[in-house]
Amino acid sequence: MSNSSTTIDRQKGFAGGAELFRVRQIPDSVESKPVSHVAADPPSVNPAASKAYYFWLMMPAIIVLAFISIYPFFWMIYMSLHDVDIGKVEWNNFENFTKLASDTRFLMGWWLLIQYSVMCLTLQLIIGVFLAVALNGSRWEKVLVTTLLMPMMVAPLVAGMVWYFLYNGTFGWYHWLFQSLGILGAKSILASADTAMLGLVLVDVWQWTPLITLITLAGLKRVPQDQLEANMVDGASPLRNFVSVTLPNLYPVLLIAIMLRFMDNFRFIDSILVLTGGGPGNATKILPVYLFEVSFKFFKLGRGAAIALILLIVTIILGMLLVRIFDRQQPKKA
Amino acid sequence: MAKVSFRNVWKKYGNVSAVKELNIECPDGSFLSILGPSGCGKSSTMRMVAGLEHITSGEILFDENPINTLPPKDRDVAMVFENYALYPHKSVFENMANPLKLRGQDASVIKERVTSAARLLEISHLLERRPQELSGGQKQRVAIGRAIVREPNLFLFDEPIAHLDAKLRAHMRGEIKHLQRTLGTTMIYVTHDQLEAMSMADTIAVMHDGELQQLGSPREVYNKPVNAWVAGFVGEPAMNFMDAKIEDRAGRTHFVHPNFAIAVNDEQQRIIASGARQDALRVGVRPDALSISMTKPPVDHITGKIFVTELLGGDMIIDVDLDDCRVRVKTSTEFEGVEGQTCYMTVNTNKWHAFSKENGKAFF
Repeated sequence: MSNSSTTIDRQKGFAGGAELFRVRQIPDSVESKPVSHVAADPPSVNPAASKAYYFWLMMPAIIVLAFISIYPFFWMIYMSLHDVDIGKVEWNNFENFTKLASDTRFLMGWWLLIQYSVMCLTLQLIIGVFLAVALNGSRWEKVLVTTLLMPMMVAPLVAGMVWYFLYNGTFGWYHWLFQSLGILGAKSILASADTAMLGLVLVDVWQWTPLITLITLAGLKRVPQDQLEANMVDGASPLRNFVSVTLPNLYPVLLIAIMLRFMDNFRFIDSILVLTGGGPGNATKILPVYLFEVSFKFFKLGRGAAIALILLIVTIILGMLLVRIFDRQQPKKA
Repeated sequence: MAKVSFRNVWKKYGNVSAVKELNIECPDGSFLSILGPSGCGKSSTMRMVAGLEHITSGEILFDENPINTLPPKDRDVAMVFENYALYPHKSVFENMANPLKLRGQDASVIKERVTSAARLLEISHLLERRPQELSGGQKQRVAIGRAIVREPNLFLFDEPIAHLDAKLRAHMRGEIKHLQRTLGTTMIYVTHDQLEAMSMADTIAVMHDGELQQLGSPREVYNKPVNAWVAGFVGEPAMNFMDAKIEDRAGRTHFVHPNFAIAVNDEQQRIIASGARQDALRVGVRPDALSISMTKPPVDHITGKIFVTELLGGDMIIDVDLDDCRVRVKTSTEFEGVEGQTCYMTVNTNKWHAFSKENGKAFF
């Protein structure tokens, strides 16, 4: 240690030290290369296992899938190109699609759907992650998580009914609460165009935030402890540690959560049908609700199929975008 | 740069004491290795220094300042973790820059320090890569790089080379030792591998069951183990232990065993005579303090039967069966004995040890 010739000149600091001292060639493995006596390729290749076997194993699943998924899918495409009514299927020159361009309720449906999804996702992510962090490692974690999961166990339709009563203008608890606080006017929450959408968002947040919490909790469990500790020793405050180690490690699970929830928002309309049915007026008629109305109230099946197809394509594109972001987040294996 | 002192340090997890009444002084600039089997409390000790564990009782001082209540970021230590603990979402450069960035250094300073540390460790060409794209040896160098970019009070290395392959590990021992000598920063190095501790440290603290067994230079620990446990833990191949009786024969103390009766030297005789008189004790002999031959030597010797011979390339290990135990002897490759033959071993009595049978304490 006292050998001053090899000790770094502290005045010159680290950069100076590098000149004085260099680690000589650290090979990844200190093995030298052996001499090869083997030909580049084997003289013959053994036949691969037969694929027919696997084909027959998958056959039952393919048949079931064909009936419940593939057939309806193509039938939907077929319907979207035709004028469909009872006892009548006529080709109509893409009219189902072209007419949508001037359908204000269709366009409004998109705008409302975006509003609804963004509000739901934002609130759910913030509250969900916050709850997960608060619960993680707490003494009552198991009990609290179980309690928290209850809304998720309720069928969306039933959840809609429950909230319908809570929002009710005559005896609803929330109606009473908000009116007592002076936030709410004379109209009930769902009857006012200003508040109906917020009412629906609240139901979705109530029911599905636990899912985000659950997924985030699982993610938190696999945040490597040693990275957190290394960052602490490196000099990070707890908040900094959360931002620079915990969050990056959570990205993959958060992306999955976002994907699941946005897809759900595009298709779960049970509670909305129960609560507002798209009203008042068209204030909460998000696209899937409109789609339901066109297909099963006005029975314009061709038109409904066209809307459904567009919705499906947009969902797929958004999903693929998220998957691509997800892939980029996952570091490539060497 | 700091002197590190442990004063009566305890670590308890519930009712389990992981570290008991630890007292160590580690002088400024020295290389201290904490050695022990898994579960001996060595990692808890290091984590208390780093601030990752609460110190149950006692205090740890850097120079003369107690650091018990300082959060990790204010202790100014740099730590290398067993699993490297690199941030997977950051490049090698960002990984190494992290401690400087968190301390608010200028970008130009960060760049300069990281590049010179990378040059030092010969990982300059890897700076843009992600940890997943590196081999184990490269990751380990990045982890060391992250520790040396700033000049901390203290390095804490927690089994940093345990996961490398054997040859690279042997290589890195020398490199880390040289690095510590060059930077001159105090280092605490935790390991379960006695070879690492022996080859690198200025001082070894041998721990067992949370208790400090022996604190001393590698030579002291190897040549003068304080008890049978330390003697058996340090050294490869391990020390041979034989139960023997103490008998006086012609005025000279002999250690007597069914296979041998060997006289002790003058100093040892004095120690035995002055110590609490015992009838029996445990004799410890390292494999290299025994010499084996197939012909009966004229001096006191051990008679045994060859159980198996192991050629290690440069030398040979012979396992010899005695009546109640088996001993291992290190010898040259010229040795010609075959399994099942009777052989004779002489002991270098200046290098043998005697331990109490009751508590394992060393007499000499």
